[in-house]
Amino acid sequence: MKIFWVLLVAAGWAESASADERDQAIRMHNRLTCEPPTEEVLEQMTDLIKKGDPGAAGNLAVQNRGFLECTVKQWCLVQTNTDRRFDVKLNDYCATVIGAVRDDKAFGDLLSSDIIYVADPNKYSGTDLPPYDPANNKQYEFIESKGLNLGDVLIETKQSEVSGIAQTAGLLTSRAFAEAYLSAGTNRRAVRYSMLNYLCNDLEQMSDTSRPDGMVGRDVEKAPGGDASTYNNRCKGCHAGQDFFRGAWAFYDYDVTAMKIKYTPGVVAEKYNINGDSNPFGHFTQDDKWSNNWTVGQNARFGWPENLKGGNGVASFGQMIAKTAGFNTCIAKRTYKSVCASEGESEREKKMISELANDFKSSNQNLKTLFVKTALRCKIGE
Amino acid sequence: MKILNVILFVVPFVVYGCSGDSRSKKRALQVKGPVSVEQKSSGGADQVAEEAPIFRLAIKNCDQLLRTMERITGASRLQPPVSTVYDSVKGSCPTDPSPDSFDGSQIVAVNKLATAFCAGYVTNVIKKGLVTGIDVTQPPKVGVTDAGLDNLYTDFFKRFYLGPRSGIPDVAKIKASIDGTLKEVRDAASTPATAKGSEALVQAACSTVLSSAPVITQ
Repeated sequence: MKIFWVLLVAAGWAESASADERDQAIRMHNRLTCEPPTEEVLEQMTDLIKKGDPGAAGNLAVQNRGFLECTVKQWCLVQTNTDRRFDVKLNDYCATVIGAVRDDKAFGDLLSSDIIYVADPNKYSGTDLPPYDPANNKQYEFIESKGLNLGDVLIETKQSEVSGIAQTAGLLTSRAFAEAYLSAGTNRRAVRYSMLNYLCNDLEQMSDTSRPDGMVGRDVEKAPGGDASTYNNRCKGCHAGQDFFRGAWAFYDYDVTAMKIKYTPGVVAEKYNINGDSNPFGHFTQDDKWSNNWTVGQNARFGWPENLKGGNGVASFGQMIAKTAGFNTCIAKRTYKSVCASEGESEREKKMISELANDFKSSNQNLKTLFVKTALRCKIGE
Repeated sequence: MKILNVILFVVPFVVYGCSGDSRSKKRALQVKGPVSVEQKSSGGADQVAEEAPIFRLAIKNCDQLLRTMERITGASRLQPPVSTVYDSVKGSCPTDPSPDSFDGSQIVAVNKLATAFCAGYVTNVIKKGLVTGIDVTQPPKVGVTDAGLDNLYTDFFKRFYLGPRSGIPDVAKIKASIDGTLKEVRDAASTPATAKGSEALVQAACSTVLSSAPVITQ
């Protein structure tokens, strides 16, 4: 029944594979905005394509609200929850991505800047719009439920001023990020999902047991179940990278009662040094120092920046990620998947994603430009 | 209404023929003539043979569907009846673009959304007299004329398919696929002879076509 339905529906709706300019315009608009164009926009886009300027046609398409409110929103929402779902509520993380895309900001800077996008209070004074509150998500949920124009409502502001956190790092200290990745646990989740979100690799894929383990926390047993080989052959592979990075968030926690970030400058969150009996000789976290233990070994393939192999705090960690070659590739791959509805695993797709990553880097990591270029180039298959 | 909807639902697609994944690929690779947008952007004519676009079927997710159906019908996704229906089916919405994961519960969800949006279409388009020859204040035999149906197919064609382009069914094909069934239902003695029947008939025809909205080619 399922296949039957799909075939029948496809026959009725699917656009032709022989892409004339009009068809290309419709296809591009759908890719970029989640919806077909109006007749007026379609005519304009078709003309631009006929004139040999498909990029201008793409730039016209992204003026549609659907670009920010559907395509970009879904693109970033998956980054804000462990289930990787895009059908969750708008939050400060994605509002910041959306605002930054609208304003043509470098995406990589969002991992270290003192930045957040909130609703412009001047435009909505006297309405029911809740004020920004670092202890809840109500403002963003209101914006979404009322269908307010995200391209119009959001304004940039300093995250430190509205959140009360002195040391911010954009998306990495956003409330949504903290709720998903800093609540409970040991803040290792923040590292794992940073790798997933920005390097498109889970720790299992990055596991390297050849690296030294001097900063692995005291809560990690050296011989789980009495077997040291388990640690040496498995646990160490991830912890030897993860635990070296996690110090970046040492002064941060997510207070599940207050529903906000708990920032304690100079004081390491208690969870960093819990369960010390598991390995009394393990690393005791005393500050927010982090270092990259994966610049050597198999993970050198990510192309880490030469001049940023360690630091203190989240902002420098975010800077390192944004300057990593693998970051550009990951963002290009995620965008390709979003726009072209393909995992991008074929050889021709990998080649194209590599080219898009280079374009992304040379465009000062402009995500809007990347989306448009990707929409022009969806070529799926072997 | 439900039975009518099901009958109408499958008809047009049989007429239009199948252009599934493998066939699309084959056709795409056979494209000749001017270099396409996709080809131009990747390095020029010398790469045409290697980099001819290949398209794949994809399933729109809920947000994409809502925006698409809103665009087509003019009914707001944030207002009842759509918002009400959406709240009840959002747990069954497609989330994966792969057709392989498109299951029965998702199909039902899409169909319900289409029906809700088409109620908006009736309100926003039909009841405002924008399709001449269709008068849903009259019983079907009077309110849904043959000429009105022709105008309805033309309106579908413009809204759903955005006018003529290669590979897209024309108005005649849309008509051929559902016209007979619609007229049979309209003329049948068992059809509700009230004005509500006219509304249901138009709404069913609309949702028949609109229900195919989730499937696109990428």
